[in-house]
Amino acid sequence: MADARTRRVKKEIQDIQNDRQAGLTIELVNDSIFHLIGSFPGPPGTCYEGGKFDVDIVVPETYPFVALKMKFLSKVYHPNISSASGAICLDILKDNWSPILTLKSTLISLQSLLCTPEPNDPQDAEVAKHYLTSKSSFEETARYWTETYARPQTNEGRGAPSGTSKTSHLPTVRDEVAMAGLERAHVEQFEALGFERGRVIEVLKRINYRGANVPKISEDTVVEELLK
Amino acid sequence: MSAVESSLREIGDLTDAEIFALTQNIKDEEASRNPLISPLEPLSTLKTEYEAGAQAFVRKIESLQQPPHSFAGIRRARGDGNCFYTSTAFAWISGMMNLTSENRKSVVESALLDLEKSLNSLKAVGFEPIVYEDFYEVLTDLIRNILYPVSTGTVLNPASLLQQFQNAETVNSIVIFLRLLISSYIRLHPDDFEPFLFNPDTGDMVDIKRFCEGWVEAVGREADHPQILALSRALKLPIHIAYLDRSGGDSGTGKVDLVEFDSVEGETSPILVTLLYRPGHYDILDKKAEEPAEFLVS
Repeated sequence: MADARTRRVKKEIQDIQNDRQAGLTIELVNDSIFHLIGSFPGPPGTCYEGGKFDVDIVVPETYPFVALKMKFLSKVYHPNISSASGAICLDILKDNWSPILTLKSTLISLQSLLCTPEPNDPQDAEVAKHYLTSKSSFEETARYWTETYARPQTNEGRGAPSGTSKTSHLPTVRDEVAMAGLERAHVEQFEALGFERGRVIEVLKRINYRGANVPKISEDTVVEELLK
Repeated sequence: MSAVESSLREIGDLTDAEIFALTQNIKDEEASRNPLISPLEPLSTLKTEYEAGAQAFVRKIESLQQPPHSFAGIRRARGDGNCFYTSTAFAWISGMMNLTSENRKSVVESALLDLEKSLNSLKAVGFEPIVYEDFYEVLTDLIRNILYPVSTGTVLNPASLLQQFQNAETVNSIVIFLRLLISSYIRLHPDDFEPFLFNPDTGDMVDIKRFCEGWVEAVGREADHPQILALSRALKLPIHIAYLDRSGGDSGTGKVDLVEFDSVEGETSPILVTLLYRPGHYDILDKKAEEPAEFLVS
């Protein structure tokens, strides 16, 4: 009966390939239909618009009775997606999985997850804090990540942090600061006190030095954190 | 720090995904020790399990053994969140097998016809054939096997039915098909169900779509009244549930609450499924205490 799974997965792959309209793509990894890379376009009208998001998909042995294993290969700035590992917090990939879901409908659910972040059930706590403190600043950062990491043309270097592999895009001060969703002026303020820029960014990110939080956190507190 | 404290602290450090994986592992491990469906055993063995503890349970089991109930056996289902579905499917199919030969043919054939018709309901609520056709095939092949030798060359008998219910893929397929049948029935009869749909974890009311996605279609979610009612109507199968709980207390009369889900009022069905409910779990009740003698021979 193991071929029921093979038959179904083949049909599901075909289903994606036949439907050009949804804009989804699916490729096999090492010629296996049980390890795939799916992709979808960032939803229009969101800070992910214009991006192409790649997702690593493993079809478990007891599929479709257990959930597909999915994680983002493209780096995404989103409260429910780990900015480091691409791990996803979505109910249908855990205890709300149902065999009526397919490769196609699950990829579409990920696409709609990008439209509807759930910051109160986060996968990435730092990103969620950013989202809750200042939505406009969060969106600016997410847009920046989309432009940097989810460009449709650049297939090579997928998932790898930009900068190191792409010599034409050497990181600048603006890059790192924007990537962390911080204000350049804040970073420079503490750099001027003699702290190394990377350390300043790390600490300001961790304590969520953004928006309405800034007046609540004294300079001394920040310095204490920097000295830890 | 005690071992318990240290393990609690470790659990606190885990992410949601890790906790989910951990509880899933515990559930799977617990579940894999028990068969999906067990051979019949005398109801008195269940009574013995409670004798040292809850007397209310003992009295209720005794009253199930006596007229008018007269149950003698219990067939246990694995406690994996699917036990209502597994139990009902087994009792339904075995009920069809136990009919007299002239009744059997017409009941099996009308069940197959109804299942075929139900595909229209599944389509009507938006399920794609790709997600249900394999499950449909597994269930209908098994039912057809009551009358006709399919691939095995023999018709279904009590021993081979029990054997089929040891196969996880077969049982999962049947369970999912029943779940989809229920979901489509609820979605197509909103007025009958909408006012009674609650999130079992929070007690909040939920709409039909959310209820069906979260507590009917999702694997391993237990069934409650709305699911049982919908399945009984969709299969035109009366399902009775004997509730074994502490109501009435340890010194009570031992009267068992029997909730009867009858498909359509006034319509009589040749098959009746009776399940035993203990908080969080369903098993099958049977008038026989053990498997028939010819069981072992075949």
